Amino acid sequence: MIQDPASTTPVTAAAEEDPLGSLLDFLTDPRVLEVAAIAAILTLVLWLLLSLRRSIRSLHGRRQLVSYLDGLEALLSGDPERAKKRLAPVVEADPENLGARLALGEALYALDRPAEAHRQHFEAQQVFQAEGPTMLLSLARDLRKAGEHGEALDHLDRALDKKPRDEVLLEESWSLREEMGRYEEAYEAGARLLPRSDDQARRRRLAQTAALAGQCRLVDGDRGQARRWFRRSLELDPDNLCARRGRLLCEPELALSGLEQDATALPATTGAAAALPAPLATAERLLALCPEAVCPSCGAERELGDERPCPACAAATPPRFVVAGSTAVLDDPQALCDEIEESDAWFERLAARAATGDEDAREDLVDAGGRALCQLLTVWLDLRDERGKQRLELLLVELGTRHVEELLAARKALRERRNRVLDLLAGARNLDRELGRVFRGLGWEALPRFERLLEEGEGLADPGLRGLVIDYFLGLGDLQVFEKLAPRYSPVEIVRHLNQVPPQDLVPLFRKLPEGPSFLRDALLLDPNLDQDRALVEAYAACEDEAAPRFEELFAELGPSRDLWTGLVGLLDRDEPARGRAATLLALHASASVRYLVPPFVDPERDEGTLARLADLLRLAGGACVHELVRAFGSSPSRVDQRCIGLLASLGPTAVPALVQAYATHLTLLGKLQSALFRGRHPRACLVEALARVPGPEAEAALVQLQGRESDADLGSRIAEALRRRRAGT
Amino acid sequence: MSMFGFLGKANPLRLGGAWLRRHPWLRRLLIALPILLVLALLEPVVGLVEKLLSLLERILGPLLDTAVGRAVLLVLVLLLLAFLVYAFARDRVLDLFRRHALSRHLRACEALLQAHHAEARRGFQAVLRLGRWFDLAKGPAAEHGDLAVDARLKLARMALEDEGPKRAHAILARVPRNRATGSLALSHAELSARVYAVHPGQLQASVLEVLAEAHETWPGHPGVAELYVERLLAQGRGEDAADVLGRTLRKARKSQGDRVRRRLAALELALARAALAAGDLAKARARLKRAGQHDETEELLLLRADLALAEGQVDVALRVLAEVESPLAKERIRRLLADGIVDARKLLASVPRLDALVALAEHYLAQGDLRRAGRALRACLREGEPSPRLFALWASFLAAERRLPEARRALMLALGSEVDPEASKDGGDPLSSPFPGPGWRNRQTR
Repeated sequence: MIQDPASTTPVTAAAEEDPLGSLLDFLTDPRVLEVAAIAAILTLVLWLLLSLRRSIRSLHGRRQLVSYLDGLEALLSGDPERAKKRLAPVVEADPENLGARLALGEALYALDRPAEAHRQHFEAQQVFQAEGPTMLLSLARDLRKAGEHGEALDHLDRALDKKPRDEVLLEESWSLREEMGRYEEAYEAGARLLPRSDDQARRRRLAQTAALAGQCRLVDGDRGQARRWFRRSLELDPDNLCARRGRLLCEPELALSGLEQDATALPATTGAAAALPAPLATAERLLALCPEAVCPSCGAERELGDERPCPACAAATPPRFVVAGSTAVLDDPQALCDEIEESDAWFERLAARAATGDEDAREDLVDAGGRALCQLLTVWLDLRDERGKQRLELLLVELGTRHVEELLAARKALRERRNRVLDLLAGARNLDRELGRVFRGLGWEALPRFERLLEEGEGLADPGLRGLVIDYFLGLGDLQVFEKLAPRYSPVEIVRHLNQVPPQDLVPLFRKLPEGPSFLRDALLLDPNLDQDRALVEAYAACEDEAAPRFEELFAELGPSRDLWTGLVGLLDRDEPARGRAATLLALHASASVRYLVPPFVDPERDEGTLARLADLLRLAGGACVHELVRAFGSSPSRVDQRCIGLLASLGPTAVPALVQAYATHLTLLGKLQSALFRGRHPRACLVEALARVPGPEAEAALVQLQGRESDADLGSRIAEALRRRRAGT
Repeated sequence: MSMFGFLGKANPLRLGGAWLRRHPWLRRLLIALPILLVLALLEPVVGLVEKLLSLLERILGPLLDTAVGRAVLLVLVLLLLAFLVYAFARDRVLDLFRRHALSRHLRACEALLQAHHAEARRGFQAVLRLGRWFDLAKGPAAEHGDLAVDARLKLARMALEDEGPKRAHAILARVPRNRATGSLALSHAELSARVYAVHPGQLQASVLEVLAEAHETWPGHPGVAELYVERLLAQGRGEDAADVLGRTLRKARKSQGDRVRRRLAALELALARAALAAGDLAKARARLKRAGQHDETEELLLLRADLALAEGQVDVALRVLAEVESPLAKERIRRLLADGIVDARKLLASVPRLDALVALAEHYLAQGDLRRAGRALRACLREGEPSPRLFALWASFLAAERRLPEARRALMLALGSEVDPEASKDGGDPLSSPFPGPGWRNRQTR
């Protein structure tokens, strides 16, 4: 610049006078301003150039930018597959392209490949220093999808520390904590979101979270806290079933109060329930609080047939059963059906189980009552196991007593169903004969029905049923009631039927033998066709003391019979008074009963008391018993030999002739059978010993006599030895 | 230089050759220099040069003497420079600015990916400003498309997310459609569909038109198709909606095919349901068949059962219901029982499952057939896992039978949810046992 010399002089002068004025003059000098303007323009241009240079330099090293931009656009417009296809080569060629890496991570996440997405996000964070809550959120989502909930929560918490009010972060925190079962923390996150958009769906969801938190507390045993959580839930959503049930669970008495009193304590759920009786209404209302179906996404209760999206979370997934095993396959549906419908097959199965001792099955049959009788009878008749048969018999008696009509009907049905010829071929038992046992067991409850049956002419037309009626009256064991048969049955028919009845079943009636003439005594017991002596003996043993003479008279009138004697002998093993009565009767007829007394006497298993009683009775018979006792000696020594020898010896001199005769009989017999000679040696030796023990000269004379006759050297020496001892007094 | 090329390594200009190749004007000056030196030796030429310089001094001298003149001179110099740049380096300068715009765009994209929306918005707006002066359809990213359009689309996306559909629509409306090509055209279509679908002020017909266009542009996009389908369904055009989804299914990518297939199956089911409700069984059957080609869902099976029932084929219906282990199937079973269409034996023979048994028990309970209800419930409790529902049902039965103490106990069990028999044996509190509620499994595995 060329300056004007004239113009500079005053300025310099002024500057010398006033430095500030001279500075102002300098600054206002047009040339200075020109220089400044030019400098500013140059600076601006330079800055512009440098900025451009710096901006363009950031592009240096970038590769495949078109792919990057395409991939990013694809990602943003919802095509993660194309985004991944475009971005993956970019990241490979240009690993420092942070944007491409982040976009690729997002694309992989959208493609449901969380592990690969996490790798990209992780490298972006760790290697390329990508920071911020969004980065942490991406990492948290990757980890959550990959199942690493704990780590995901750490990242999310760090992100929330940086941006505590971020809606996306809070939403993610809420759902993640819910998924982890940390409902209380989830509630806190959800509660922070609620004031921002208080929509109904969010309130319901938060209520569900609170209810679940309450359930957790309840399980932990903290009912106070649980109650508070349920209250919070109900404040948010009064219809939340989970919270309502939980509240009742905290206070079960509240739930059950309507059971015995009234049902007003519970909130009404349906109009129908309110009209029910109080206990039923309580149950119905509680039923409404026990949902069957839940939303598989959020766990909220759903209506059973609700095909709409979940009201709590809007998921379109159909509801699922609350209990996973609700659709378990039934093992035998037909059997269950039989059970529910109480079909014949079911009762047959129950009967078979009851026969094995299954108490539940027995109770079920009792519960079923008369309906089960026909099947029960069928199983009982076909059963071969005696124990099982007895169990079912008891059950039949129990049921038949209460359901006589059904029992008769079942018998009739069964009789019609059974084919006689086939049954005969198959060896099936006679139905009515088998049933007699049951009918004899029916108690007094059934009497009116049987009395009616007696009055009904048609009822007694069936011969099998006639016998069963006799069985029933017989089973009652009451003489007066039994005599009601007399007008409708002939004694012959009754006697014939009684002969088919086991003796023990006759005893209750027989033991009530009345004094003097009676239908029982004269028409039945004295009938020579009645073949039930054992039953009479048992009745005699079991009767009252005053009735015993009546039986003794009866026995006297009937005369002796084998069954009678064996029965009486059998009574000797019993307790008093049966033992005493039998002993008395046998003593009266000692000679006649000897042959029935000896067999039990030589029984090695008998106890000493019975043996003593038998010995006494045999002694009463005297010599008459010798012959029977000698028969007890075998061809070789036995345990009972000494018992018989002792008894023979105890008979005394009166038995000597009989003993000698027995010795001789054996000799004669054996003499005829030379080959079996050695077999008679032992009985004769026993007789010698018995004679040797009998005191008195008769016995010694008998021995001498026998010694003279005996040709067997061994026996002879035995006799000699016996004689020597007797004489020696040893 | 080429004249010394034959010298090979002895070429004296070899070292600077590379530098000169990058600066052609200096190279030309170097070539012209010997000629000028020769000319300078000539007097007339020198004189002419002197005259030219003096002329220049006379012209510039007055200008340099005054401030205005100097300013004018400066302007002239700058204009000359600009002219020279325009004449000789126009492409280079434009490329420079386009690269600058690309750089800003990339930075904005990065900010967008890191959710720094304010920074991203500033970056995209800068790109838009540059786009006013420079044609950003050209440049290093020309294959991608116009950067200005791309920036505007991204601004619209951010606006839709942060500020609502109105602002997004305002930005989107400024996108020149003819400049949105390739992937940008697809993106524009997708964004338009989303914006119009949620825009509160648009007419239904306009929305449908935009959605149809968007679907036409990008038929394989499931999101666009779903938005379109929703609108069509709202107008009762189910058949058209199915066509749209069918086209989308054919064009969709593999990873998105399942989503479209499920949606199409659901739509076909909805149409079948509507046809069934209208009594058009043939149409319902055809729709069901089509739905079955796409996805065999629980709903499909249930609807198949419904159709079989409508056709009077109860056995077929039961066979189908036996395949569905769902509360919805149980509800249908309950209805069948209530209507007397099936009896217990037939039901259990066809659907031998616990839920069918429970339905049967509930049916008997509702009918007042307490004896059978009791037997069925007992079988349920024996055969299946005890649940609060079963206990509550049992309690209902007991209450109906007036067995109140037992009913009370059953209700306690129902309230206590799952009953632990061992705990009960030990005298434990049945109410402390856990619920079979949601999230329990997670809680236990926490």
